[in-house]
Amino acid sequence: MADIELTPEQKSLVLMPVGEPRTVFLEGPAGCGKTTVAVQRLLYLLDVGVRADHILVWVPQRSLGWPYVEALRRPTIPAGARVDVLSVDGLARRALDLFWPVIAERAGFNPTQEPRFLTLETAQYYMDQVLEPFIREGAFGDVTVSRNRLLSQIIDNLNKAALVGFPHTEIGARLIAAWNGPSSRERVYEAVQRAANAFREYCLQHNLLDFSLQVETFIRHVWPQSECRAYLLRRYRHLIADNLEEDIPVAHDLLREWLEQAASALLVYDQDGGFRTYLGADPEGALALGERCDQRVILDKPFVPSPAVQALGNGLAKQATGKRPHPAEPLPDATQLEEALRFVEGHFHTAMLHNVVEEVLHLVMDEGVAPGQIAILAPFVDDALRFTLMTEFERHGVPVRSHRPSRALREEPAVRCLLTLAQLAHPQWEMCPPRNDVAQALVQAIAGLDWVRASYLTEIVYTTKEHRPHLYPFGQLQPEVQERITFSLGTRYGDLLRWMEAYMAAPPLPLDLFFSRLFDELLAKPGYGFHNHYDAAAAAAHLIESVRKFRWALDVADVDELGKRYIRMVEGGVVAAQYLRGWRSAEQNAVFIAPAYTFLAENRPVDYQFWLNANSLSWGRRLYQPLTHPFVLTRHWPPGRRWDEEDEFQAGQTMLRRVVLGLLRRCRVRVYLGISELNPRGREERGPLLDWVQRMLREVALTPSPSPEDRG
Amino acid sequence: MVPEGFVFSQSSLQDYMDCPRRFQLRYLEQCLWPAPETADALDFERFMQRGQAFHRLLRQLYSGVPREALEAVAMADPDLARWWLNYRHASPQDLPTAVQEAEVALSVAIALPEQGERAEGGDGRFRLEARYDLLAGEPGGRWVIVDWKTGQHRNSRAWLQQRLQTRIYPYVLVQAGAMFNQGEPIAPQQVEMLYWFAEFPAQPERFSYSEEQFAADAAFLADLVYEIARRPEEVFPKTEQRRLCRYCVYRSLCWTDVEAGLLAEAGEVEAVEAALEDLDLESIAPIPF
Repeated sequence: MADIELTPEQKSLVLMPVGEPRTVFLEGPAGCGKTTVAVQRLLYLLDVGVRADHILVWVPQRSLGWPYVEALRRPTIPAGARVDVLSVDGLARRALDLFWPVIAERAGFNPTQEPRFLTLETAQYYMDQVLEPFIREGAFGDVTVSRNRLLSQIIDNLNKAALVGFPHTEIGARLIAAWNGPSSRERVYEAVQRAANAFREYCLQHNLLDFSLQVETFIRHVWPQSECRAYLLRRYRHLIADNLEEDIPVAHDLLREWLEQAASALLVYDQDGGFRTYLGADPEGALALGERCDQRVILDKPFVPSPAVQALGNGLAKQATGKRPHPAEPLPDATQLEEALRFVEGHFHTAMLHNVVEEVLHLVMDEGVAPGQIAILAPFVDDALRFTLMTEFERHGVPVRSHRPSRALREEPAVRCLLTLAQLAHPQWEMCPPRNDVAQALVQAIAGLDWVRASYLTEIVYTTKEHRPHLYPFGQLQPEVQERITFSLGTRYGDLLRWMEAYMAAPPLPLDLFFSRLFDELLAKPGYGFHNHYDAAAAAAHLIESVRKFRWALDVADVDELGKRYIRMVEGGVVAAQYLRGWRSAEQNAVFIAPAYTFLAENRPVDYQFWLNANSLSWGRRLYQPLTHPFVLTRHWPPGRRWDEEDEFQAGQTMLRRVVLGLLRRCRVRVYLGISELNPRGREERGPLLDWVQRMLREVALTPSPSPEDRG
Repeated sequence: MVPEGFVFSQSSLQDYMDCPRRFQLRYLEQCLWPAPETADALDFERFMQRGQAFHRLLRQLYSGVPREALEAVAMADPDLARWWLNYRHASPQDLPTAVQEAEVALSVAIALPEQGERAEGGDGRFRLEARYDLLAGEPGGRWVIVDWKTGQHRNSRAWLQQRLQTRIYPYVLVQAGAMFNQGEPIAPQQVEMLYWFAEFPAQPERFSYSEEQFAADAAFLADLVYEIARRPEEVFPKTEQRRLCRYCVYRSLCWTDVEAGLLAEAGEVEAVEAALEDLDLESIAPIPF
């Protein structure tokens, strides 16, 4: 085990004899060392000779598994097999891969053909095809959301049905039963149901497994199969399940059954968690697992927040319910508030941001705070907000990182370049990119070609004939034109054109292979824009991977048809729209700018937090999702009950309380509230978070401060 | 600089042996360079997919999926059917049956030479991992490491012998296999490495292991890892064997005049073999969430 200092209570949990007690439920607020215990318990199990491949570390999402993955990389881990760190969907995918021939027919698939697992992109593509006739007939009535959000909400409904564990055929009925508005929406929900049915039917006919079908097939067909269940129970005899409160109902069902058979199990539950409720997390179901365990242990001494920040958390949480989360803990006094809470204000939103930057610079430069100990959080972080802050910090040389790259994949210049060149190299597609795109593609493809020359060149060489794009050779241009472009750049353009002509003379390739060859044979060579350009190459690699998965999922023999469909999907914003992480190095010691939920999902405490737009209504308000419902499509919503304004208000208060407590339990020293009188749209706003703060301040002002002796 | 906790594998070390620069780009810099592996990329893709499908079938078979259920899957594809029938008629003989584990990964700490006494306890800075297609053994008796080969030609014994896989797989099993052997370390002389060729089922290749070979491998691997960890250059040197570059995706990063080679001409090119070795466990990695 690693040399890490544990409290006697933690140590006794870590060193429990294996299987005595057999199952333990460990709970407590965030920051009390529960995950530390679980990681050390894992290392202890390995130390005492438990086979690594008999241990399953179960987490609701990948980022929450990192403490385990990192611990398992230590060279001091005993020689042996590998510990699996999985979520229920990861487990489902593995089990389906293994037992497909046994369960496929029973689940309604063709067992002699392999399953085709859909990514979010390819699922959206198929859903788009399914929805086309519905949209044509106006089935979604007065609901005005973009096509992408339409797709994603119907996919989300299917996912909810699978994760909660009800038949997907009940989606519409459940939504209708809870609807409290004009009856026209009922017809929309009926259309939602028909679309979900059609999508599911199509998937079954073509051996396609989207996320919902993977989970559902695993739960309904793999797990109940005796030989599959026996294999999994034999394989994973020791369970460590962390962040149960963020996991989904069917995961809890599975764990409940697994607990009966496991040689040992440690279940870890974070009180006041449940940030992923919108995604199907079920904290109540998680807590019920505690009743199935032999021993229940509570760790409630927080290590992360200072006493002042803890008291601030109590003070704010009390405003939501009238109760402190932990009644034994004190409310803040004026001194503690001064220590733990500051305001950064501005009349305009930009002024507030400017003051936030100044305060961060002061912390880093004057007080020596490590940039990695500062997080700037908001309910939503749009491009403008991120750009403003990142530019300012970069200008001052302060390392900064964001929750995602600044652009979606399809907006990367390298990707746009390849997509445009693909259209030019396949005139038979009859897709003519705009002149501006062609010029941009040439700027990206040809090293040294500036925008002015590229525009001029495009103006002269690019034309369209009978809906087909065409490029003229450089050699056919007037000498004075050639001179303006320069001979060397013209030669590069000429080589690009010759490459495309040679390509066009042969039968076309699948789009991903076209990109790959163009990259390898020309664009990565000296004189071209991808030469030694690692970021551009990485963006191209992600595009190629996206196209390849699209090709595999579609199984279309006509490569031209495939290429055209992919480009149309890009233009429609359905594919290549993901923000991919990891292709740029993520500096860890950097100021972190993210939505509050993303910060919570990373589960990495910091010293200082800035909560931007603290007076915004967005704190505590859910996204507008007219075609789905995260609270109605759960196990806890009473059948037939209608969702009303009071429910909406209470749900918002509950979520805000969770978020506020979650953030404060991951804050060591101080929170700064960023408040502007006018929001980015120039309007005044007053949301629940600021109300809570002001009520708390009034309450504290009326309460006499205890003397230092009283505080102890 | 190799980061602490880095996990070496036979593929990564073989990459280093073939071309230090390739190792650096692929594993240390994790550089994505989207060039095709071979000129006939679709053939290569089919080759990989067939290999993957065959590995999956045998993984399923050795995990307890009934043979008749797999038969129907295998018969749906002519190449897969041929390999499956080859397996049925000439599967590896004399495999111990007490323990049969499909697609298992074992890892061990690598002790660097400079660490002396401390190194004896395995307290190194890096790990070495081996992924076995099939491990068949008898506690106290023989242990056979089986590797399924789905290439179009049969690799020569001499070529297989000099591959790092033939050294690393038995070495790691001796170091890390006690868990399968009722807690007792597996002795080198108990271990055998067996390559079984789907296209040449009657001509498997076997390599026995010994104390001497184990000691030599331990010293060799420690020296190799030490060399990698201590490389002073910012850019590792490129291979002198340009033929290998034809099957390396980084060819256009390193050279201006190397073109992708044809799959049929690859022969015993390590990059092509390594691609197949790599696909087994990674192909069942969990989906992103």
